[in-house]
Amino acid sequence: MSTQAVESTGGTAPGRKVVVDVQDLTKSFGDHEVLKGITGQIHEGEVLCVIGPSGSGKSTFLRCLNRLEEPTGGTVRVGDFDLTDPKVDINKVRRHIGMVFQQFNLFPHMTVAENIMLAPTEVKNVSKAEARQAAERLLDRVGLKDKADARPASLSGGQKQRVAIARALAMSPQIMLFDEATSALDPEMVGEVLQVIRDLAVEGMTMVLVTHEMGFAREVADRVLFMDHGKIVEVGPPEQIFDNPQQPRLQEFLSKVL
Amino acid sequence: MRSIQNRPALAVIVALAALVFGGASLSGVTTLATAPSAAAATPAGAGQTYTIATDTTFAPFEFRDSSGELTGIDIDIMESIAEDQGFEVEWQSLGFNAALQAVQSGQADGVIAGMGITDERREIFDFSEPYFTGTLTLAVNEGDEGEITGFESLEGKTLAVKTGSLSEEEAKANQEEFGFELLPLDQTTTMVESVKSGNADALMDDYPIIAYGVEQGSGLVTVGEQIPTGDYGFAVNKGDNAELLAMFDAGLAELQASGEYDEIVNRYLGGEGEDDGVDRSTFWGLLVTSFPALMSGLGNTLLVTAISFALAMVLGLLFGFMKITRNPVLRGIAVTFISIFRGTPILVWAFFFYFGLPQLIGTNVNIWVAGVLTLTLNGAAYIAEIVRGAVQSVDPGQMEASRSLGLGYGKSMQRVVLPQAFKMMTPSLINQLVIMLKDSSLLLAIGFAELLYQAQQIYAANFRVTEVLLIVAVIYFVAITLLTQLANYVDRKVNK
Ligand SMILES: Nc1ncnc2c1ncn2[C@@H]1O[C@H](COP(=O)(O)OP(=O)(O)OP(=O)(O)O)[C@@H](O)[C@H]1O
Ligand SMILES: [Mg+2]
Repeated sequence: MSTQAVESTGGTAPGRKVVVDVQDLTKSFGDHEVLKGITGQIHEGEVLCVIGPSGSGKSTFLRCLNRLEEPTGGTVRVGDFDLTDPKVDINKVRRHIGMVFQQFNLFPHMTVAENIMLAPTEVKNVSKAEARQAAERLLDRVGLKDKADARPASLSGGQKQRVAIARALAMSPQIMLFDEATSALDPEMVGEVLQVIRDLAVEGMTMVLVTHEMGFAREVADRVLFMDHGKIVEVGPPEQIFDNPQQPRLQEFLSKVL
Repeated sequence: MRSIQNRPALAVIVALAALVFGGASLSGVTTLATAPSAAAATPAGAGQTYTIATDTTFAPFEFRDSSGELTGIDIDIMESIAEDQGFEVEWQSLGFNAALQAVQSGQADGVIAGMGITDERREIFDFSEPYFTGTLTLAVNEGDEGEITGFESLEGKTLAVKTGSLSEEEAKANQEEFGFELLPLDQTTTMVESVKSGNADALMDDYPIIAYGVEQGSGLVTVGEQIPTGDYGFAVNKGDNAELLAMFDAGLAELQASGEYDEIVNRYLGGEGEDDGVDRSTFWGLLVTSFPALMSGLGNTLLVTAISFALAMVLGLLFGFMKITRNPVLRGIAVTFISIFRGTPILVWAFFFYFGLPQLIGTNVNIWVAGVLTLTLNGAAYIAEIVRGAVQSVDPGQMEASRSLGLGYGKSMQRVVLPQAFKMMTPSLINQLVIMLKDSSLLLAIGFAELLYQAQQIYAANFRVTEVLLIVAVIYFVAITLLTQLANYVDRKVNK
């Protein structure tokens, strides 16, 4: 059983700008080493899907990319910033990284529009009126134009997640991180959220998607990364990962989930 | 009552508070100017002002009337004498033991406090001529006076007496002969309540106290022969203030000769009552006469609660946040503060701030300051826990979502976490406000004139404990209900 990651540059256009550069990233919770040395890059416009069994460290990896988890070792660079530099202004870095959570995490005491306007007005000093206009444009983009003044509690799960995406987009991020964005949804609502993500992919948004939706991963991903026990086991274009997996553990995993 | 934790530091504080409480030397000082009389002969000491110490509440000799003025037989006699002899009186209402100490230490010139003339006391004090002869009396429920007329009709019945007092001695001496049961109790109020509730058939206690209660509608009547117990006198420190003593004796003789003395005594004991057209024996009469004092008590209760709650909110927020910060020093301070004030009874702090602190800092502490400090620090400990609990119960995903958008920790707290925490904590805060309002009644122990204190002052004089407490309970209930409604209304407006 090999632990050597199988790297492939196929599917990524060489020469494109590197948005995320991760070198030998480790993360431990106490004695428990959850990430055991992750190295890799994500290029501008690329869609990377991360798959793997439960507990393999997918969420932890994603959260290290905007330092919601503090890396234990290694370096993480996003755009021009070194996140692992203790002197870095993390709030400034995070403006460029959008994140969408499994549980939506909308702010329940604000309206939909206020959720979206919060960061631009607080962080970027955009005027209320401007932020409101931008929010309405974003809501239009995710198909929720008429929900601007609704409370999150009155929305369906799929609508909530689309608002959460719009909220993340309001900061015009360089990259979007999705942690199982559809896992908390009723099956009939998964499609509407995936459609929004698909549209983003088409528009050229750089994205990292942790997902259990293998079909969707195959469809939108430029590259798929398979993780197990805190390591990258295999990474490559979807055709390789799903149709011609090299590593026995990936083969075993796919035989269970497909 | 919350339990006291076994910590050495606390033991010291408790001991200190107890120590100081015993020998309190601070209390209200009232000046009642008296116009010098135009009498012919001017005695030595005329025109001077004397500080006279007395008890706080020993009706009918000294107590506070419904408007809070010091009044009573002792007070009226002293002031009439002062007017007659042309000197002025500055009152110090201290409590009996403290009054005696004040004279011994020279802080007061004399003491008049329903004080019996005994040989032991003669060694320390010079006494005036007796101005009142103490007697014991039996008392029974109104309507029983036909049945019980003295010791002789008490066979097989129960007699309430005051533990360790002359009334117990006297009753014991007669118990064998007449065959009644003894029920020794600590306080006159309890004795009166036992008779009214039927736990005892009769009581024996000092005549003036019982007679004044009858006057105030206690529902008892005095029966049988009065038994003399001894004479009351005005006292000065042995060898001091001879001219004051002389003036007292001379003035007393004048009052007795002119009939003013009888007038004064009858005012309290003679069944004449204050002539204001209100029948005190009815519930309505009690309500009308006690209302001003109770309302001023309620005012103080509400004010001390409002001030304390506002300050406790500020402190509670501060300590609540300190407890959830990552800074171990701040967290340690908050944890210590919270556990100290949650782990100790409010009373300990009331005593400490009012009686102990002045000794440490060498200056008196205003009773409002002591009261507010006590309630504020206790409340702040509980509010800190409410704040901490509410902030921590906000889904951590909220903070993460806000931080992932680039908002800092403070901004995220302010815009995302706190608004949700406040919404969650308002019911607990309203609850805490109600608790604080009720806890403010504990301040009566240091003499803070809040609602229950006023009630105690009233029933200590008229023994209508049940009725007065009923009135007070209704006042508290109405006040708390209105307050809760108001708080809920504000909550709905703010947290809609
Ligand atoms: N805050 C934490 N403290 C301690 N252990 C943690 C913490 N967060 C995650 N872990 C542990 O790290 C390991 C990886 O967790 P992670 O959430 O990254 O897995 P995952 O691949 O996202 O799994 P899933 O598919 O179930 O979401 C797990 O064993 C988990 O228990
Ligand atoms: Mg996960």
